[in-house]
Amino acid sequence: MTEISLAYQKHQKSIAGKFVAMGLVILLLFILNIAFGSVTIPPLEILQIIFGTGAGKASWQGIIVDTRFPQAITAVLAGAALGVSGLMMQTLFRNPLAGPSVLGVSSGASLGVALLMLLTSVPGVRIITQNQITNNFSVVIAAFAGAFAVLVIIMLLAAKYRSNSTILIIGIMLAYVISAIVGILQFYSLKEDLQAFIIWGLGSFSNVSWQQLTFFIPVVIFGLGLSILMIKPMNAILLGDNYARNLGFNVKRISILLITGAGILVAVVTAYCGPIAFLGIAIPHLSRNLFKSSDHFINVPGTILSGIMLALFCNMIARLPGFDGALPINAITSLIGAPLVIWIIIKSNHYQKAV
Amino acid sequence: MKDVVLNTKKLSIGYRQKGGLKNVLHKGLNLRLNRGEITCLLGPNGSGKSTLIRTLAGFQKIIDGEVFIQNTELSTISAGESAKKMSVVLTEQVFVGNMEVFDVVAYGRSPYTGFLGRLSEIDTMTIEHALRETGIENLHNRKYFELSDGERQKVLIAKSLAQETPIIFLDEPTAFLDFPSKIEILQLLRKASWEQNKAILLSTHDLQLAIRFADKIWLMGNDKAMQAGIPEDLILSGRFAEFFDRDKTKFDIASGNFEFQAQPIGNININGSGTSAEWLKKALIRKGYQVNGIENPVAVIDITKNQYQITRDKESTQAETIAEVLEAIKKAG
Repeated sequence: MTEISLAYQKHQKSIAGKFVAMGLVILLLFILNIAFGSVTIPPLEILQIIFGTGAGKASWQGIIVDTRFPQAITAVLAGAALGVSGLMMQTLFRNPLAGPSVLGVSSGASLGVALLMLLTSVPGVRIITQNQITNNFSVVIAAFAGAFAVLVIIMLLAAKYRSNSTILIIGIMLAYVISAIVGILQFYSLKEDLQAFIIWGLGSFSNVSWQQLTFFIPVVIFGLGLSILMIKPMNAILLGDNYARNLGFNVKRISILLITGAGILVAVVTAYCGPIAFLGIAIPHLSRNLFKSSDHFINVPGTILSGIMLALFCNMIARLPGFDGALPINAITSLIGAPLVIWIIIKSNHYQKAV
Repeated sequence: MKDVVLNTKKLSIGYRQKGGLKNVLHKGLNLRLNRGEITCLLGPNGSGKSTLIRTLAGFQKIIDGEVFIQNTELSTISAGESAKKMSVVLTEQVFVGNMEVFDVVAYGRSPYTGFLGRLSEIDTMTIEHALRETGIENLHNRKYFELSDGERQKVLIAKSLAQETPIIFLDEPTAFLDFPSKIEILQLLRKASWEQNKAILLSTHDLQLAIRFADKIWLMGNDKAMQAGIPEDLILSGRFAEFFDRDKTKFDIASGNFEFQAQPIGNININGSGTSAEWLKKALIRKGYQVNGIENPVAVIDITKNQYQITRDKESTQAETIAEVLEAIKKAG
């Protein structure tokens, strides 16, 4: 064993150690997410409910099992999914500021939901009623359809134009056009529908039921699985398209798979939780900064863990005792995510190389 | 034993434009790359050096003709197989973010690793060997973006060596490097080609270095047929002069250098020999004089031990340094 390969092995061990530490932090945050809420439940009762030995009050059982558990799991899924989609986009576009909202995918989802909620508010063509909207599966379908429409456009452009910066700029412009359309829809819609749309737009981890999780979980797992398959190709395209090609990679296929994977993850999260700001951009930076590496073998799991950590943390802050009820999650993710991105970019003063 | 690893048959290179038009830069190329040889691709800007390299490496479509890698037609070789035959060092900047030198060299192993890209013991050993060959083993845990241009170039060459391909293409690997780094890069490439029996093709603008280091030279020009051969033959046959002469610069066959030609402002004769005579000659030529020409000399300089004696219009002055000689001539003129 030479000095170099020993250093390589030592490096890998230190990374494994960090993964374990992050796992423990996640466990702690998850428990805190269950423990905190507008209703105070004694810790002992919480443990009893978790281990199924019965609760002091039936309503507590309901709060823990039907509200806090699904919400914490939703935060876990959203954090992991948004983080990985951000990582995929930042690597593909070689741009540290790429993220779900930049490519217009989130806006596409918004448009879908806006069309559903607001266009139907024209008197006479109302398809669904107000109270159906908030917990309806049709919102999910609409968000998914909108996100995918944008995604297909982006993918067609990606197949035609090779330049990633071109696609990135088109994505940003597309997002502006879509928000303009959404703005027009808002202008002509009824007050109650507008309110429902704005509440959806503020984002929430709390609107996902156990039944919806049965769809949410497999889709996220599919997207994360794809990201694991893309570890080696993502590393390759970091080196540049021609180098990647010379190393035997099909760059076009990689681009399409990455856009699809990132798109599916953003679409499903936006559908269930609304457009969540800043997590997608911030999480990959957090991971790269924690591990001081751009290697995707480290950063794919690193981003999943950082994403879960950050989302659970944001969700916990939003529901800390004292904030009566819960703050909108988007306010918290922006308040935490934006300074985090600024801090990381200032700290690593070679930010153009930060991907 | 010289075995051919790459050959082309009636190859045409160029660009496909919109509407099916083809902009052909060169056609009918029958080229050969041998193992254990460095081939330098020389030519002015725009003559198609990069296009040729890009075509041979498979980045750009062949306009017409065929390329054979170890007797297999290029288009029939899978991407994975071709990654084990040819490696490249390109002109494009590499931004790999927070990657260490070891990781960048490890890229060369991708064609050999599994789907997660994990390195086996053999891979690690190959990477270490490449780091040693390029003399950068002490940089292995440095961040790539912190390195100097010369060091980065060595890392990318190490990547190519780790790829263990019989052919290496390098597009202007010595551009933007200081002179000692240029020599270092060419030396390590020559070592790799000779010791590891690789065929290396590199494009460069450094004519003098190419003449010194290349086993073969390919000359490319605008609207001229390509020429190939060993450097000395190409010089003697006048091919070099043909490719590089311009109005104001002439390729001097005797010295293998460019001479900047301008109407001489006068002839000066030098009596004496040795190093000081050589450098005095260079200084006078730089100032626009002809030295030991046929015209009547405007001045004669006799070199004695540690002194220059300048005779001009029967007046004599002494000078200690070449600067003083130039000063004296300037005053008199």
